[in-house]
Amino acid sequence: MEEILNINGLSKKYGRIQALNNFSLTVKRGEVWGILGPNGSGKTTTLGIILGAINCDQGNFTWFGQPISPVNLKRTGALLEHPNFYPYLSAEKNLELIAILRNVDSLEIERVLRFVNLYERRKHRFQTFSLGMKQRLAIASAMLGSPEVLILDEPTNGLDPTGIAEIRALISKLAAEGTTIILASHLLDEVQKVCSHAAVLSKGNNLFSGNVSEVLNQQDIIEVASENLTKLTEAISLYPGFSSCRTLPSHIEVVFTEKTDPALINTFLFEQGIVCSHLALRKKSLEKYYLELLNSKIAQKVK
Amino acid sequence: METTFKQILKLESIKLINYKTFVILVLVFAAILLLAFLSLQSFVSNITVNQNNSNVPPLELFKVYRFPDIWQNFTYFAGHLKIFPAFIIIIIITNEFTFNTQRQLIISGLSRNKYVLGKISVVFMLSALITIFVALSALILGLFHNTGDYSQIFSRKLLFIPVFLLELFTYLNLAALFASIFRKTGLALMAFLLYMIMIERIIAFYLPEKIETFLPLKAIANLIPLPNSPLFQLFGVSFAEHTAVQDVITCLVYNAIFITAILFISHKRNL
Ligand SMILES: Nc1ncnc2c1ncn2[C@@H]1O[C@H](COP(=O)(O)OP(=O)(O)OP(=O)(O)O)[C@@H](O)[C@H]1O
Ligand SMILES: [Mg+2]
Repeated sequence: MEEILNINGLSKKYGRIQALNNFSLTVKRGEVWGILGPNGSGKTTTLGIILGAINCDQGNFTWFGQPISPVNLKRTGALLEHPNFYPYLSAEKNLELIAILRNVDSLEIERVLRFVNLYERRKHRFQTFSLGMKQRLAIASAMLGSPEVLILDEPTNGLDPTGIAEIRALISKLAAEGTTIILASHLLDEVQKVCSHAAVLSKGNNLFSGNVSEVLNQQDIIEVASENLTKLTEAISLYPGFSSCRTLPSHIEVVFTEKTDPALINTFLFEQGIVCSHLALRKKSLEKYYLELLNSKIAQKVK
Repeated sequence: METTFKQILKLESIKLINYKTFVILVLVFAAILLLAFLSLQSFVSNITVNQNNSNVPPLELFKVYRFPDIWQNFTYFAGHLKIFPAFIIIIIITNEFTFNTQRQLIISGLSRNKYVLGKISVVFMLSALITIFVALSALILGLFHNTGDYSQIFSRKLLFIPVFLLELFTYLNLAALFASIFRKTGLALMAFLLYMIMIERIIAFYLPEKIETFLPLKAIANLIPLPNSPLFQLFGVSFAEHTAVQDVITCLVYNAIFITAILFISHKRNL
């Protein structure tokens, strides 16, 4: 697939703080990348560099196979950190500025304003908006002209539950239409819900990058219950790929080293003479994985 | 597609026309200028009258509105009020940092060079607007007080109008440079004032007189010489009647320096 963004060994220091350390990443068309990391881990720094707002110390990157230029920045829509608009201009006028700069038809302004539910407030000055409304306007601005790539730095920051759900639905919809998306977030849940790929940052270091579903599939948990949990545990430990098992009052949780099919497990247990009263596949949350990852890397550093 | 100059001008004009503070400040400045021009004659005559009180022979009245001297009188006088538009420029440029809108424009695909080009265009337009206003005021007031000789309207002194444009453009570019360096409105305003009131004077103090005239504010102030009034003639003091080419060249060079410095800063800075 076509390479959209290629980041090669980016580093950035602010005085003595290493904000980003030798970060590399390749984003292909249609992928939805989540950049995950706690506060101050370098997410905004990374996005700022690839958008040409921050100069990096080392490394390089290409957009669409070319060095960064105003022309290829017009193919990307971006929301970097806080919504930045002229406070004295109306929502509509603020978007008009971006539309003029990007050669976007002014009809687009109405479309995106309706999309983020700000059409009724289009004549109001930006400074009269609530935080969530400002954030919505910033998303509208990034969407203007349906760019091929969207870069969103904490897009749901400050939004109400409805707004969060809407934005996530929007991201999923745009992704389904083939838009390439790079999303920075510390909400793991968000990344898990909408991203196909994730890169985890901690203090500027890239701890992990790869396919989200691969990570999740390896970490599947199967919940099983039957009349006799002890017998069940004995039986299931014989199943190929068995890794560990935890006994809870009502059921047991089993982790396998490889991808497993619940139907096959059911057949296997039935052959052992065990009838399951409950059998469910639970994806291990990325959050758990993420915290484990952070902890293990920190533990490694301590050693 | 590359951003065109037309797009840049459109962006800047939308930002300014809808900015009430800007519109009000420009109107207030126009009112100040007009009021000053209208009261200029009584102001100057007052000085002359005071002179008459002390046993000096009566002076010929210094006619402020007479062609072609009015071109010099008005531009010279208006030049003393140019700190006002400098404040406007500083506010406009530092706003873009305060609102972080410069960053938004650049990540949306405006090159840094074109961003600066937009700001220099604003500096030029404001200079041109003020110059036109001063020229029209001079023409109208001159005609109003005219005693019949229209041939004097077009004289070499009319050149003070484009020279005034150069004076404003250079001065406002210096203000724009201060705004780019200091980024915060209050800080930039204070630094600019401090430079005007103290720093350049201190530097001048340590420089030989020949070099002193090449300092930016000195060169800008030298562009339009003090009009020769009968009062000064009485004391045998006479000032240059026209702009020195050396000062024009110095100011042009300064404009190149200021704009290059603004560009350099905008490329080096993280937004
Ligand atoms: N302009 C700056 N000057 C100095 N240090 C900075 C600057 N910007 C960022 N940093 C530092 O760089 C590091 C990374 O910051 P960055 O904003 O990239 O983090 P982030 O992952 O976006 O965090 P958050 O989740 O809080 O938005 C932090 O330690 C921060 O203090
Ligand atoms: Mg951030």
